[in-house]
Amino acid sequence: MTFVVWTAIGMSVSTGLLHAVLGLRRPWHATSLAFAVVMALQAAWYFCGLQIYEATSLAAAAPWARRLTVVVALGMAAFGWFLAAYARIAIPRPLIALHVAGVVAMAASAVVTPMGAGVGAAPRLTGVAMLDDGVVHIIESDLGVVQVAFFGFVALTFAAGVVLGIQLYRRGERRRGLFLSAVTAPVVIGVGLDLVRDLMGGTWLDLSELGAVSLSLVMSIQLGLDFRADDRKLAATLAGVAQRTAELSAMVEAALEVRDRLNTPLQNLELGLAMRAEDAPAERATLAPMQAAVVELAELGRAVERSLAGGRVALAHPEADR
Amino acid sequence: MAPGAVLFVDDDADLRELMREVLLRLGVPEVTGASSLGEVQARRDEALACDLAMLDINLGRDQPTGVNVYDWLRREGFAGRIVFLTGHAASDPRVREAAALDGARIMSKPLTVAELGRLLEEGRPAT
Repeated sequence: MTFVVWTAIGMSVSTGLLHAVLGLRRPWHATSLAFAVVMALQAAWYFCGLQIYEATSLAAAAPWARRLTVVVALGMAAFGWFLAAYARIAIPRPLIALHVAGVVAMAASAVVTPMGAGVGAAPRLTGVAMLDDGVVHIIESDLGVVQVAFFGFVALTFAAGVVLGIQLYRRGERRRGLFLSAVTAPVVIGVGLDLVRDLMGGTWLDLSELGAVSLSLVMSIQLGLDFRADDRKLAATLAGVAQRTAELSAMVEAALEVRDRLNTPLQNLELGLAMRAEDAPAERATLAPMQAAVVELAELGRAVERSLAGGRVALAHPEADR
Repeated sequence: MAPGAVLFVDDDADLRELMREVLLRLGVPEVTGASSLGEVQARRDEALACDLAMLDINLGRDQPTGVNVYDWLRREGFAGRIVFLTGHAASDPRVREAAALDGARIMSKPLTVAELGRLLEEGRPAT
């Protein structure tokens, strides 16, 4: 059994690392980052559960039960973040406030109670025989309203994933919606069955752990597909920007070329009019407006140059603006 | 004292003719006009005897530029002043290249007769 849990921890850590690397690429990918945090906390959750499995007394199991409660609280917060990022929706503030209140209450229970809100009255360490003839231990207790609320909060958080998955499906994002509902539904069912077990005094292992394993596996694949699709979109956008930049650059160059080519005729006019004015003083009054026009044309050309030259530099070295 | 001889290089024949006329009127004793590096090289002795070289930067598509003329003149020992005349923007790569040359000066077209006069004055020895 220990081997299986360690395998699950290894999977969670490696999946978390993979998505942390993907998420930390610029621009930050919030969904991958949130999923990485969820996976890290899931690994911590498995580890705390493993310590309880291997505990030989209730006193030894108690601190791990408290830590487990804190990890679950943080996990619920991270999973809420993940859901919002994955579904790309703005969650109503009252709902966020309720969720945060639940997380805080859950974490606080680890401080004010001996074993956290998930363990009820009269706790006892019970051995469960495994198929390989080994024995692991779980904490049994008489569940009260607080414990039901604890498991209910966890189940509701994952149930939100099922609902969001259905909404995504209806919105047209069928594959993403199906994946989300498919990975969160087993966790909801697992948590529900664990609650039934505790209420009935059953001794089977946590089924929610199995749901969590499937969540990490399937969701990781889905996020990988998402990441690839986003990467393709980004590449297409960058290619489009590069094409627009090239077009703009060509327009700027063409405008500057026209401006440049005007200068030689303007130089001819400038010198020609100056000589004519010297040769024929009687015509100076007639020539003066023409000379002024040449000066004005030259100034207009310089104005065009000033306004376009900055664009030429910016288009040639777009990274300078970053 | 009259200004010395001027080498004027531009691919526009009308401008060469007008510039020659204006420079002569401004007191320049001799104006050597050329349209390309090849023509400057063909008139090597006249070109190197000038005190001032006025070079257009763009001497036509796929042709050696005014910068190439500058390099050739300096290699051949031309000791006079060299001024680039250009209609191109300061951001143009060819203008930037010319501006980076040692002792070169860039002037933008169109130049007025008064500006040409001042340019020639700058070359006169102080009296």
